Amino acid sequence: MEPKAGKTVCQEVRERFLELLDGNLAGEDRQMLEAHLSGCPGCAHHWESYRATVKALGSLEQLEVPECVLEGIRTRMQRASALRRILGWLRIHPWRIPVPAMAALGVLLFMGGLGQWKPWESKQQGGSQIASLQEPGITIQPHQLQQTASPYAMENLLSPVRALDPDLDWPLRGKVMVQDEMVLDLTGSEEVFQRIEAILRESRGRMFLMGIRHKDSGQVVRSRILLEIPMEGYAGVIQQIESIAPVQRIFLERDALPPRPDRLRITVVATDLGLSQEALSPLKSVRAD
Amino acid sequence: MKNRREESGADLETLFPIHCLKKEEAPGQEDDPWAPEEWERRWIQNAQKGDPESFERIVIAYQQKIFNLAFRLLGDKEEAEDLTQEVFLNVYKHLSSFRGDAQFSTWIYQVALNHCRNRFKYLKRRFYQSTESLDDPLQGGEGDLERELPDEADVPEEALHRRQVQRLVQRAVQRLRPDYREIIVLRDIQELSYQEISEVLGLPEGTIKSRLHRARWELKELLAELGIFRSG
Repeated sequence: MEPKAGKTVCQEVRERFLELLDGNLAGEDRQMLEAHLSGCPGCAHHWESYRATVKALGSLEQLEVPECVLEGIRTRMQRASALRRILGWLRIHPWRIPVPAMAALGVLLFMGGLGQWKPWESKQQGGSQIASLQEPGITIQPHQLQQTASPYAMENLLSPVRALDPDLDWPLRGKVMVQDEMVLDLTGSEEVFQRIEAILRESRGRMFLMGIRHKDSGQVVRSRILLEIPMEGYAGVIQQIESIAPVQRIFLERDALPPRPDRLRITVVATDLGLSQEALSPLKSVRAD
Repeated sequence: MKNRREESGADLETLFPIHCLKKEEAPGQEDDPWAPEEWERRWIQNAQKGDPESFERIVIAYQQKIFNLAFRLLGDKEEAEDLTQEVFLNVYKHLSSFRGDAQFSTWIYQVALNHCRNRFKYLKRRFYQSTESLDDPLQGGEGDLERELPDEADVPEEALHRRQVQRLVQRAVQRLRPDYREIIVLRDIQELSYQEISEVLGLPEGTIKSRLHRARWELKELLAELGIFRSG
């Protein structure tokens, strides 16, 4: 190997370690480099250390992201959204805010109170959105399910009835339909719900229940249940659920989204209201209040 | 078969029986609705329209990479946690300005790197004022990894040795100058391609390679100093 001006062969060889490691040296170049390495203990040593350094870097463990990170992002996003809405409104209507109110708002913002403002929770506490799930012969009261709320889940659950696919076999009487993954048959059994609730509690899963009322009759036309199961141990949980409620059909979410990598969210739609397709059609423009 | 999503409109939430969207019925590789890039594109579009759930999916897809990037660059887990949150909040605020000219991953890495650089400068100033240096071995000599592994009494010797080496490597990475540390983390730890690194750092591939070589060489010397390799 001929060194470039002002460089020794060893320097030249050592500068090509990256190419050698990437496998980008071929033919004569590679042969010459390898011949030099086999005859030069200094370069051979550097080459071994260089390789070992890259290997050691590649073997550094990936740290798992603590759950608090995602929680923190959610909280900060809510705060940012609330702030943005208020500031946007203020830009349009600056004269409508009296000075004392402005001061109070300032204090609220300063104390980070908006971050704690959770409109979905107040809706839930109001009770109008939470309905009983009725099946022939059984009534499952909301208090029988562990009710917790996450903003996105709640938003999702409050989506209007118009979103239903008209071609879908609807209403799905006595069926529990699992979004993304599967449909479980839970026909007419309160006990099944209780057992699922127990399984979820044990696996640190969560269950949400939301009802949507007909705007005219006030009747609950649709209840949606959302199960959130930690990915860790997910297969076992699903197996347990399947053992009490066999899988019947597979459904997908509207966007064919993949399951979340950390927690698989399963949306369950349950309905049994005895309403015909015709009775349901006006609901397509109804939004839950 | 006509895709029902087209019929019902993209904004509607609709449940589809799976037979409508079977993979083999997808209209070709480029439009494959099952491709991860396609999911990502959809998440970004929906998040830009204000859908928080789609944004959350973006966070979940990238948080591991960003968190580990921050941890390797800053050497502190709590700082990395805080920085990861800050990065995603920033992405959330400025998502509407992402036009898709570049890869989303490139964009998010650029945002994360900028945050890391600023945080590093801040920490360096703070440590400098408290008479410590970020160039010194971190926090009690073993850095954050030690806090991760509190009880080693029952750990087999081989695993213990591996952990020890990992700590030393992390320590050595911390002692590199910032531009060397960045390139080592991006290439040798996060395993980005040269092209990706070139796009993230805005440098030609030739520059990337020569800088990477120098960074590896320096790290090799540092590891020799720490007793992992014999000095050459």
